[in-house]
Amino acid sequence: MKHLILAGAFALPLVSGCTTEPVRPVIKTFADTVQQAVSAGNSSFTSSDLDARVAAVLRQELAKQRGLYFLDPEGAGICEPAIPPPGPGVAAAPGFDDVCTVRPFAPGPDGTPVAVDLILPPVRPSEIGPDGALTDTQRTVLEFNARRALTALGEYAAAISDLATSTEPQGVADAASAAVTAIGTAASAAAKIGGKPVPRDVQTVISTGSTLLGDLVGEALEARRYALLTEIVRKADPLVADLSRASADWFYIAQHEVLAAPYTALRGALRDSQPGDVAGMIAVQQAEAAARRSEAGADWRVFWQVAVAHHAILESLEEPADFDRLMAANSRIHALVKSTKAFVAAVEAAKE
Amino acid sequence: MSEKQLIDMQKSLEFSFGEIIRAAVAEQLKAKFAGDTARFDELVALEDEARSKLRQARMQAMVADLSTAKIDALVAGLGDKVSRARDLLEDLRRTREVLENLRKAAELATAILGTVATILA
Repeated sequence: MKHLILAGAFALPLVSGCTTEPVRPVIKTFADTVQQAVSAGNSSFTSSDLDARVAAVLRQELAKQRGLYFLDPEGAGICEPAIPPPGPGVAAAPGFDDVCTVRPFAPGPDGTPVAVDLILPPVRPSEIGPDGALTDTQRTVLEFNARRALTALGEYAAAISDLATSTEPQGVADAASAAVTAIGTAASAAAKIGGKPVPRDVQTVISTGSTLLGDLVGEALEARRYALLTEIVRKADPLVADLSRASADWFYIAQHEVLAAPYTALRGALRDSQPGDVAGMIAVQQAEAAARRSEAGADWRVFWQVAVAHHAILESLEEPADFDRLMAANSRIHALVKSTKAFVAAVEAAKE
Repeated sequence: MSEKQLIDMQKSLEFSFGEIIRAAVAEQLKAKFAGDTARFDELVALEDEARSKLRQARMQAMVADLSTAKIDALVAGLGDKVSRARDLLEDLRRTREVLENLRKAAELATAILGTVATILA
């Protein structure tokens, strides 16, 4: 019964037109939460010195090529301190990159120096050792890619949120309405001077009111926004799924030893227990509870839920009149919100 | 090896190691009740080895998900969607500006026409 009452309350705005209005809160909450998760993920303990580690790996790559960093003769400037540009006015002040370019070079086949673009070495699955152990370089490359995945997800979430919540379509409708009114007034003034009657079509616009035109423009733009939003979310869905999976993979990789420990303890308790041994039973149950808690709080779940929530949003957008899909999307978002809050709190606690 | 082949292989490995672990655990349970400690320990060693291989296979699959080439393609694909969303908002902003300028021009024309009407009167 409660479900029916709620359905009735939401049904009207859902079926009243293809606008982004019914799903707006979902997308905004989704976007805000993804950005919080991405921000916390990027500032987690594993990322604190990532740039320095990436730079170290790239230096090693250059060293392997017997290369060095040098002033680029074809780059910007000559590496003299920047000065403000001559002439009147205040132009943008030059910075270091406008006056100096240092880049990597390596010997070419004939020994002459060649500018090189350094790339991180690939991590081949076949090189992964027993138990999934990773070298420091492998961890750095994977973490760097995970950070790119997180950043892309955050930017995407912000973009669809802006598109869903922008007031621009209404702004255009209002501007159209005001422009039509102003043109009608000008036409009236011109007609008075000329001593001619105001043209009939202009009269119509003025008499029916520009509000109607503004509303029509607004509706058309809302429909266009909705169609584009749906198309973007549909095409992005598999990409979001893969990037969420990659992000989740990283947190699993980074924490797999911590995640495995309670399971190891549980297996230990199981192996130690003997038939009829009550103390052994208690040890097993305690270890089981600890493993259950650890699993439920695993950080990778936050990023997995991003993909799940995004897919629910897509289903809701594709069936805007379907209350169940909207509620399903909301419930996925709320699950994401809950996990993200716990994740953000854990990251902040780790920093203190 | 294609991504689909990798996924199929991963599923197959998960299944195979899972079956070995399940079988080892079932035998451990029997050995436990039979009081056969030596066999139990032997089965535990087998289980641990299968788990180690399973972890390795899982990590290999995750490493493939995080490969630079794959992330490059995904980031570029999603970046394209971000651009489309931003482009629409920019189009709307420009349209509003044009309409506002049109309104200003019409208001200016009204003001000029008012002056002309006064002069003519």
